[in-house]
Amino acid sequence: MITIGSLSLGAALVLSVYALVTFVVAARNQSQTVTDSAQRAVYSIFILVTISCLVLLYALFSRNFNVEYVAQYSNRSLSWFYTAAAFWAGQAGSLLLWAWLLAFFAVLVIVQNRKNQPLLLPFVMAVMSVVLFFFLYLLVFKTNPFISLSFTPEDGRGLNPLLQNPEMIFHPPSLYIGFVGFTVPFAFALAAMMSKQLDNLWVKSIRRWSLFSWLFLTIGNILGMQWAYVELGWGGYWAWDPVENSSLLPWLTSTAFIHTVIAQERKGVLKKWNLSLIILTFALTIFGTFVTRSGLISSVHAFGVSDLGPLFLGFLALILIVSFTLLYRRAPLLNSASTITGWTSRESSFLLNNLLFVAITIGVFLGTVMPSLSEAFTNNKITVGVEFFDRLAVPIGLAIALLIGICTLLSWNGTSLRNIIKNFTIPVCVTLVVLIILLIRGSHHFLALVAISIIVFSITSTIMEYVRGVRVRRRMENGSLFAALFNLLRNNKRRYGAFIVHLGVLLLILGIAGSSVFSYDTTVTVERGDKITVGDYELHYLGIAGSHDKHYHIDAAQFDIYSAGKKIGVIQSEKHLQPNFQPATEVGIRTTLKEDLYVILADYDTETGRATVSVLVNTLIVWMWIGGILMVIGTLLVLIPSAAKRSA
Amino acid sequence: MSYLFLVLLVIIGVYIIAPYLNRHKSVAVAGTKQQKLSALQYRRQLISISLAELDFDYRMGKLTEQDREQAMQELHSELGNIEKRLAQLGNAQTAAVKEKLEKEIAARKKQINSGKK
Repeated sequence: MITIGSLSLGAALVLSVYALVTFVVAARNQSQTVTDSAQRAVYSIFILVTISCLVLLYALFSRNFNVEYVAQYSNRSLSWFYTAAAFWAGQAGSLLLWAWLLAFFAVLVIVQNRKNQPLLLPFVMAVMSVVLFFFLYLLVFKTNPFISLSFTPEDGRGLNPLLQNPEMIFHPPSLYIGFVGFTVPFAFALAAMMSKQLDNLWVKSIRRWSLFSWLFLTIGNILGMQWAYVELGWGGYWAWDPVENSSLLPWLTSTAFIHTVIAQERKGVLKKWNLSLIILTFALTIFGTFVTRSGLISSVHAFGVSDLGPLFLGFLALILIVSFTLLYRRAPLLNSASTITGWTSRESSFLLNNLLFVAITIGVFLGTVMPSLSEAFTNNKITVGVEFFDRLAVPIGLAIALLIGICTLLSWNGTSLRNIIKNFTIPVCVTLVVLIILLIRGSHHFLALVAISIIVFSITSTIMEYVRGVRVRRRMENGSLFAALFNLLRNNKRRYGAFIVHLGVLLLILGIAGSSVFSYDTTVTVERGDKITVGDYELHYLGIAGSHDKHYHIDAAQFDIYSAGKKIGVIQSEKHLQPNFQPATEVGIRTTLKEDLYVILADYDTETGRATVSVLVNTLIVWMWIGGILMVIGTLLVLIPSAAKRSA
Repeated sequence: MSYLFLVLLVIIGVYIIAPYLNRHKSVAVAGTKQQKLSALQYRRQLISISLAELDFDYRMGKLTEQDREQAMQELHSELGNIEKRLAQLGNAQTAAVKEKLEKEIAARKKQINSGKK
């Protein structure tokens, strides 16, 4: 059975070479016969890689510990939920998932485009075949998940307790879907340049793919933040860890891309810029994989040292050299049909937003690779701290937040000064009122005041856009308020869906700003019956309670929570003790819209009941998660096809 | 199980080489026209969206009447050019289909005639 998994991968690798060669031939001589055969090779690759995935899943669920991968990442006591997640817990499994997604997306691209883009498709598929070949080569020759041990152990090592979290099911696959999804826009971009078919048709083909991939990258990042927030040892929701950064980088460039590609569609501008952005986005997904798997950059999330690093680096270099050489050679064909007019147009605000996104991308990239680069060139490892990233991200993040509010009020081609004043009046007034209230209530933290002012301005201007839109709709239709809002969203999903995403981003920034500026904490050692006072809360320590889960032993420090003399709940922080692994800490969290009460069990003695705990009050943090949900809802709205398109 | 896998590999092999046993003609000419047509239709769709948005932006008070008129004129002019090119392509395509059909009818006639002989 296991041999079939390995043979399937080998056969898929051979077919990927066949698909590459035949798609190149088909692109050159435009032969339908060769194209058909090549497409069938891709369908077959998908079937073969699917068989490999099923074989690995079977090995995991049947506890076949003769397979090294199964013995390494699962054991007999592991629940079916985490046994499924063990599929991508290790390097080989995660690369297999990557290859399967890529093969699946390749099939979807063929089905979607074989009729509409018969000339471009062979070029697109040739590029995708190269990427498929690379990942299948790694799976067959470098990190095969079907390697057998010379003996069969009684039990496996098990899954790291840090990974035994429901997020393990959703976070890695979401990120992989996002990463792999960007292969499609990249392949179309390269195909358009190779075939010189540089009209807007390739942009049409990738618009949904870019949004789809961006959506999953967003979901993956938000889930990762949540996981890091509840799992101690990963440095809070965002620690500027290299692996966290490497999933943020393609998100930043793709966010820039999905804005300026609209300007290209509408105004025929920024063609070279958009091609550069999509090349960079794909290159950054490969860079992210390199960071996770090379072991060159130390991170709490990395897979450890492996010999895949040079291969990823070589592939990355190949992508960048080929893509930018092609872009340079096609530059004369990529001149814009028109120019960006005036600084008060929506397209110029898109450009400004892009410059900010690219600036933060460069900064985060340099900060991430600095230790490796400095060591390579000077033998002296220069590590960049959290302060560097904060200093970079705070002003740029706030500038982007401000731009969200301004851009919403601008129109294509330009907006007159009179209309700017008219549209900006209400948001500016609301912001001033909030600012005055904050000052009266004694808030004097400059950065917090600036951040809240910007967020309030941008949220108000976005809401005003809805108010004005609904008003116009009601005038046009004479309908109810609800009907007007519904029709506003239905008739312009792209615009109003995007505004929901913007609201989500603003709430996310609000959560980050609030938790960074207003949070406070205390660390104390307590005996049974002691009280801990933090802000408005009083925690009564009840002692350490031991219990056994199916998989590990649990020691929990328990507290009653009081506020203003009233008991408002209980909270506990746990240590999970599992053989073969370091103890894992599960924090206790009580969430309200205003703040999270967050308890960490740092150290304890089961005999005396004495415990050292940290109690944190994290302000406004829940708004980050609400913002994340809004980002997902807004993007889904943009992605839903319009009724006209569905019926077409 | 290994035999089943071998059978699967043989089926895949046959499936992949099958198109070579049933030859089609080149897609080049029809493909180029189809792509041009799709590109123009897409541009037309985008202009329609832009026109609707322009009108909506004006009603929302984001644009002056003068700005709106100027932008609308530009878009209508581009739309006119696209409609013209679409009509030309449509005619060319109709002519190509006609020519292809006539050739096929002539070939079939020839076949029938030679059969009679």
